Amino acid sequence: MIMMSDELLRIEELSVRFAGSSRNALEKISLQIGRGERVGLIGESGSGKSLTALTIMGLLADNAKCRGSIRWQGRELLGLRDAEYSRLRGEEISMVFQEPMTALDPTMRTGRQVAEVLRLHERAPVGKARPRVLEMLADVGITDPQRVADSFPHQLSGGQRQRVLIAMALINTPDLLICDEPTTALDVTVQARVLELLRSGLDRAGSALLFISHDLAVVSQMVDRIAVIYQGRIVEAGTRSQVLENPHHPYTAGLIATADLANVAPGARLPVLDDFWKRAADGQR
Amino acid sequence: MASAEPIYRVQDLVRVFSHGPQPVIAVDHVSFEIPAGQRLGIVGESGSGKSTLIRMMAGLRRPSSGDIVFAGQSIVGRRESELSWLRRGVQLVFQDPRSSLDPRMKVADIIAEPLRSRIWQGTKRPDPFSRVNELMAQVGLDPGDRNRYPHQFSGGQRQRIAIARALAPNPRVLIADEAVSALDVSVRAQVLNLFADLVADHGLTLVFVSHDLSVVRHVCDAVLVMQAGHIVEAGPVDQVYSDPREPYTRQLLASVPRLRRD
Repeated sequence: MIMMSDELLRIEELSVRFAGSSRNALEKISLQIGRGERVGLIGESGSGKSLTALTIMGLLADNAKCRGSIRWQGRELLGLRDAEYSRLRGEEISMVFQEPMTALDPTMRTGRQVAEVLRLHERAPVGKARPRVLEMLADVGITDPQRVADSFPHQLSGGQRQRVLIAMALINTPDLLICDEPTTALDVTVQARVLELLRSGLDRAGSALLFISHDLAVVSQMVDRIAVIYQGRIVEAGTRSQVLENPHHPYTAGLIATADLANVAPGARLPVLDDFWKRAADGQR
Repeated sequence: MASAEPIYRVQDLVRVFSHGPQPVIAVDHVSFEIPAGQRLGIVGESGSGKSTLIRMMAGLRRPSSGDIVFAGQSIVGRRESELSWLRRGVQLVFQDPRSSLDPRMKVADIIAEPLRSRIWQGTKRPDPFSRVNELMAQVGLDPGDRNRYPHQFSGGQRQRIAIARALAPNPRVLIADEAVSALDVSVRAQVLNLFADLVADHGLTLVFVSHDLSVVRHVCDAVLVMQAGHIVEAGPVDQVYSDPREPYTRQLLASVPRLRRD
């Protein structure tokens, strides 16, 4: 159990519906994150996992209607004014997106982009920010921070760009970091390095983590608790070992089987989600 | 197998890109053969040269030097009009079906596109309407959806459309370039099973390019590991997977995320 004082985020019965749609895109989602806790949200494309992140960050378009509650350190976020939300974002809650090329400004040198996050929230003058930016870039495993800081995003590799984003997200030591598919666009070798850096960065900053992905193997490496989202609903949640060793929902069992390629004999047919839906339906009959 | 002529023979292949301040040797003196019917995986990171290599094999990019022999004839130095046997015989499936399918074309027209090409001059061209129905059924799509547009399909279904298009001209070789990398993990298994079935049913030769050795292990029987334009390790996929000789191959394997249940 999380003590009240240790609770950072409490989402209760959150529903989101877009204008013109007949069904809720999120349906009564509940999720808690304690201080320093690492929680995974796993689901497929279209399940509502990215929408959950955008709702927490207050980044939904005007045609989305929210019901329920998102409490951040005891304070209600739904209905918060934009100005107050901006102060929260980047300082208390920050986010790393999947596509580092679109998340970075292509016309600005990366060092300045990192410095801007720092200045916006700490009001540090430009000259003062530089040493801190270089230190932060080194912290996320960039071996030549001077050069990277003076480069434009297109001059960097995908892995370097994602490190820059992680540096930006952690530079203000946020209470919560939300990562939405942070390594999906990367090679496995680069992914392994970025995940390691993310872990050590979180350790240093003491931040809690909401890690969103379709890849259960990756999620299982990063978090202590897992929530499974399917068609806008959380169908299962618990500690990593509860969810992965003893899944209750057929969808969870299917996700586990498809994520565990190493357990399938080479050349054998790979298990697919449909197998588990069918098995569940047969069991009920 | 050993006595039969390989379907592909790649000899001392080099490709240098000299656009930037320094020339980049993307593919550096690479040689290998693919026996007909083999399922060959090519594994490596971004920048290892694997995409440049398969683009040269498909006749989409010219080598700087070296030779590529497909079905007994060299494809190097030929004009486009002399390559129709290659265009019919070798088809590609790309990583991201969102960018490889024209959003303004109906699915039936996308799949039938290789059948409308000039490559059929002087040969009997299959009837597009019945061929599209047949192909959609083969890849697990409903032929009743033939008049829909790509955005009306999920990511996995879009990749099935791309696979149906690749199969349309009845190729001998299917080259898949990171064909499951952009898909959800849960959808990846379905598409890998489809590749395995199609290769077996049609007796295809498969060249399957991926940065993920654990995926390659499931669809291939042999593998080449590429690093910085070189082949650093080659062999039966089981041996390379369970007993890799090169430190680089070991590093690739160690990077694959494994499900942690405890």
